[in-house]
Amino acid sequence: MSAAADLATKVAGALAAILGLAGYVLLLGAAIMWLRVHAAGLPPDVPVSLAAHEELIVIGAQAVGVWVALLLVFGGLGAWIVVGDPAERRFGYPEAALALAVALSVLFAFDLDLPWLLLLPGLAVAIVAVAMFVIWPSLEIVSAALVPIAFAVALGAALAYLSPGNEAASSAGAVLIFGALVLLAPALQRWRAHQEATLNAVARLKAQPREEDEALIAALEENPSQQRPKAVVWTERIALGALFFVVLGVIAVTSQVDKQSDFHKALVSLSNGDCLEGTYVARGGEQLVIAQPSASEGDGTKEEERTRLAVVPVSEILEVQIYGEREEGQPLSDSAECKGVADVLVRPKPGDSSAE
Amino acid sequence: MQAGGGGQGESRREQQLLALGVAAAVVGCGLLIVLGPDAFDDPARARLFISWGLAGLVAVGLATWLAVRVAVETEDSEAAERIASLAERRGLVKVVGVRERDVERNESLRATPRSQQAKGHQLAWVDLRKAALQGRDLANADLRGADLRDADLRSCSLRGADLRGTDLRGTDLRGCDLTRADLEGARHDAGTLWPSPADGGEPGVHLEPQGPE
Repeated sequence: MSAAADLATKVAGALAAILGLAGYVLLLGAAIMWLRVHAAGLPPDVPVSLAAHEELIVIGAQAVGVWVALLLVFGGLGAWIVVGDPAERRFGYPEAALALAVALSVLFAFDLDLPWLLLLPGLAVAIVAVAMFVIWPSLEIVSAALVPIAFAVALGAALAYLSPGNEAASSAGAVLIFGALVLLAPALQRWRAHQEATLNAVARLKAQPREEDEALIAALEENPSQQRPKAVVWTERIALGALFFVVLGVIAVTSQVDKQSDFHKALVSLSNGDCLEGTYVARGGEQLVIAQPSASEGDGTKEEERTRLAVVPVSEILEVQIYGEREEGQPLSDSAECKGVADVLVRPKPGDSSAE
Repeated sequence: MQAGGGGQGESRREQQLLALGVAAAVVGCGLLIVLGPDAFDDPARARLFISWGLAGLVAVGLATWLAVRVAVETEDSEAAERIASLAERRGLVKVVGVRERDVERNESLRATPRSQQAKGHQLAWVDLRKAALQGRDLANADLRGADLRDADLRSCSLRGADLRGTDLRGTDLRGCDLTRADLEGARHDAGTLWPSPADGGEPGVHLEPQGPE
């Protein structure tokens, strides 16, 4: 019975976690859509309220997925450092700062689009690599110095070539995550070493019990962090977890909002035979939202004044074509000449053109 | 030696090289700030150029410092191995002028560290924060890298203990016997209460010749 209850609790917990994550991703998707539509000079509440949950989840998952992957990769590096013996796998703050500086220098060199600028970070890498291979203190020391640098170079190059959406926000987010992990690693490594050594020392002392060692064993078993009230410990954990998700969300959302590459073009073929061309914004269960976004930076031109959303009932739509690169959409326009346009794949049935 | 721990045990040569690296970085940054804006018409690209230069110079400085540190430590370690081998043959355990923290990488010495030879407690890297251990016998204990912050070690016997790289911030050592204890690289602050000389021990690194007990 207790095993069944335990299993049920675990299943319920897993379901709650999945639902919570889905809600988090949906929230990110809604935030991204809101900011994109707002940046285009359009009222954001209409498309966000009409958009289907599936669409918001896909937008959110696309935004957060790459960052989760990045966290896993850098987390692997951090875990490798943390589980090492601090005396052997030596990774202190100088090594962490070197990796961070190399990542930044490579990134800036690529951003400036001047390949010769890579010479400076290349020189730093060469100094460490040559010194390590010539002196070769030990495999652990060499690895601890060079592996994080390799990650840093790969990060800088990857950001320069793969950065989607808002490039500045993506770069800042990735460097922030990398920097936080490498700068936390030395402290975590020492903490883990202390915990492991303390457990081993207690085990050794208990293996050969002596009366005079009792106080020492008690002192070793008395972890100062366990002396704090559980409420305080759990509050700290919840606050840290919330902070993690907030920071991840901010990075994911800002990296996806770029006025120049937020929208696709759309061609909507209506059942009355007409067409609408414009910018695809969102689709709901019963409506499709297309728009004419603002092409200017708010200079009050006539073009900006014409920014608008159009909500089309799905029941009136024969076909929607979404195409083109992510750019700033397409001016909204209707055309009665669609019937002769080869792009339109679905034609209205003869005699179904009620508008005619 | 714990990574990033203190820096009080760093050699004068390393500190000088570090200062040299920082000075080179500062000069380089000055040049970048002066020349950078003229190198590009676009102010945003000029800022990016300066940022690239700053990060690159910091990277070169740190790389140089790390390379020199590894070179110095490896050289010391090899010398220490030779001297320690000689010392062992002559019945000595500690030798003047050797950076013993590097000896710990010598596997032959590690197999029989000094604290084991003297049957002290094996407490390297343990967490003894706020531990109440007044009057305990920790003579010859191996406490390398241990966290002893705010621990109460009054009147303890730490005679011949290996305290290299320990964290002694806020530790109460009044009345302790620190004779021949090795405190190289130990971190301490104003809250560390040291034993007075009258108690039989003095703070600091003790690297005098020492015969077997």
